Amino acid sequence: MIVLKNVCKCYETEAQRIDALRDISLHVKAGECVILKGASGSGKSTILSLIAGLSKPTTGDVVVDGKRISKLMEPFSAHFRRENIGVIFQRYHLIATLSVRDNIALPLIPENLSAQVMEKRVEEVMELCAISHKSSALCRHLSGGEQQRVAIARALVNEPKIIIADEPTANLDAVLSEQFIETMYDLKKSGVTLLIATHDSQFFNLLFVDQQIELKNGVMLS
Amino acid sequence: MKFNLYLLEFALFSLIRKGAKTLFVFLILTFLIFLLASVLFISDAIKHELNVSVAHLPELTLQRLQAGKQVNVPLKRVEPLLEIEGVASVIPRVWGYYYFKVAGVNFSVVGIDAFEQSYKESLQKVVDAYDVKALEKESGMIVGAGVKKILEENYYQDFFNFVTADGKWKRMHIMGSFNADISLQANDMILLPKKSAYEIFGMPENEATDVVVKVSNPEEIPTIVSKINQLYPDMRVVTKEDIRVSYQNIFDYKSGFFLSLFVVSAFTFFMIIYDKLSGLSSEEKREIGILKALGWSMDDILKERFYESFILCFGAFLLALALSMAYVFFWEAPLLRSLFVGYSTLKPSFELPFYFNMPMIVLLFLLSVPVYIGSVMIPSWRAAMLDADEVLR
Repeated sequence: MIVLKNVCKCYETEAQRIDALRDISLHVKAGECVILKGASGSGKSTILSLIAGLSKPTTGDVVVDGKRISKLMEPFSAHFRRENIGVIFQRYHLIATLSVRDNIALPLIPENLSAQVMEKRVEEVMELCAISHKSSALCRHLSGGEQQRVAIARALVNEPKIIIADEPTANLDAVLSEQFIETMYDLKKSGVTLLIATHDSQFFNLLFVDQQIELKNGVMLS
Repeated sequence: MKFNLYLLEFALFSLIRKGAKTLFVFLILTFLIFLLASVLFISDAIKHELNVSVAHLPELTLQRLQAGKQVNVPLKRVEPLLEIEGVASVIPRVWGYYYFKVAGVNFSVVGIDAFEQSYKESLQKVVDAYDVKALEKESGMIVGAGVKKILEENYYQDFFNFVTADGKWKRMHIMGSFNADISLQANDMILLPKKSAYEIFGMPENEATDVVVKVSNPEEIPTIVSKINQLYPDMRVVTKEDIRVSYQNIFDYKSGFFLSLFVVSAFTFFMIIYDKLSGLSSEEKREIGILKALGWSMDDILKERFYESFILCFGAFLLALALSMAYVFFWEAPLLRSLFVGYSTLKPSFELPFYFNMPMIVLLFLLSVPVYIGSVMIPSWRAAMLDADEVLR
């Protein structure tokens, strides 16, 4: 499902060159749940970003669902991401001046679906993430937990095969973190592939986790 | 490909949710385009007016000079002028300015004669429409729309008492009013029988203010001018072209004020554009990054930004155009107009004729709408070119 072959990623500035990832190779099967763990700056987010097609590797190949996403041109990679991948960001990256409903509907806008289908999908994910009661509220007025549920709903609305979550519980308390884990478990049961970058120890002993990959300074330790 | 209405809806809503910023840009754009459009409308209207005026002028106007000052022309000079080959007609004119002290304005008083062909088509129409003989009999006059308005505002509904050169009062009845084709010139005009004009100005009846000469073939004008100069060396011959140049000079001088106004508003507009081109706010960049991360392609993002800027700028353009048309042609351009028509305090006001210069509007459109859209699209394109990861980081 997801294959990284000898992937390197470096960021260059005028002053220095930073090797974010060094020769990373990994293989994730469809429906698996993979935890990427490591300290800040270890390269977890960079791996997720490459898999989501949000950036391109400096060298190496990223293949997702049989497509070499690292070689796809911009409109095709956007289309691929829209159809296959849902992203939950650490800081949620919601548009604060849009309502819950409008934020969730954002990935569907380029699809140009009929109004009924669009409405149905948004309603379903709002129901699933228990955020229907706030559908008209502006995102800037939501609590941290509510914002996260909107971010999850937004990641699910295009019915993706892969969910990518970057430090999803970093800003949540223990109760909300547990709720998130339950949601992830439900998604795994429904066959969605999960990639979660975290340094939250709650994730490390979960029974539904298939792989745990540890990173340090851009290198895979395990 | 099916048109994506959701992108348009998102763009509209995006403008609304940016509230104060949208309103600010909209108002600034509207004001600047309004200013530019108003300047263009006023200058075009006046230019058009002057062109029409010049087109109606006689080929030659003859003035007699004495010690460098204009003096009356003896009527006995008319016959010898008529004998010059190529001259079609010679019309002695009796006219002058009458200062109406109460209102503080000058009227142009023109004497007309029932048996004489008028030197202007527009005046001929007025003369044809009224019985000039009756005017003579009943001491009547026909006044321009501007004159009528001023007289009515100052008690004189049906008549007006002129103070003649010898200090007596001469009552003239208003027999009608006219809106000549050339409002700039005819608006302050009073047409009355030549006899009455002589009396008001205190002129001897064997003289005229000046003489108008019509020529059958315009090619012969230089020859006729030299013959007139030989015949009457004390007469100055003013050609239509001379008048056109002098009008143009006045217009160009006045245009200077407008040009500076134009330059200031254009400069402000381009400053805004420069500011926009220099980059997006971090919030705008972040939004583009989010949309890219959610699967929007660069094409979707640029389309949305295009709709947004087009709605804003084209809306401002249309509103500014409508406002400037109302300001110039309905409200008669207060403030700006007095800049252009500098002598308005001495003359009755006139209506700016409606003249729609389409190429100028197109030019204004091209200088505003595409430029503004470009200033939004270029930084958006730059941001959309980056990896979403880089924008969101």
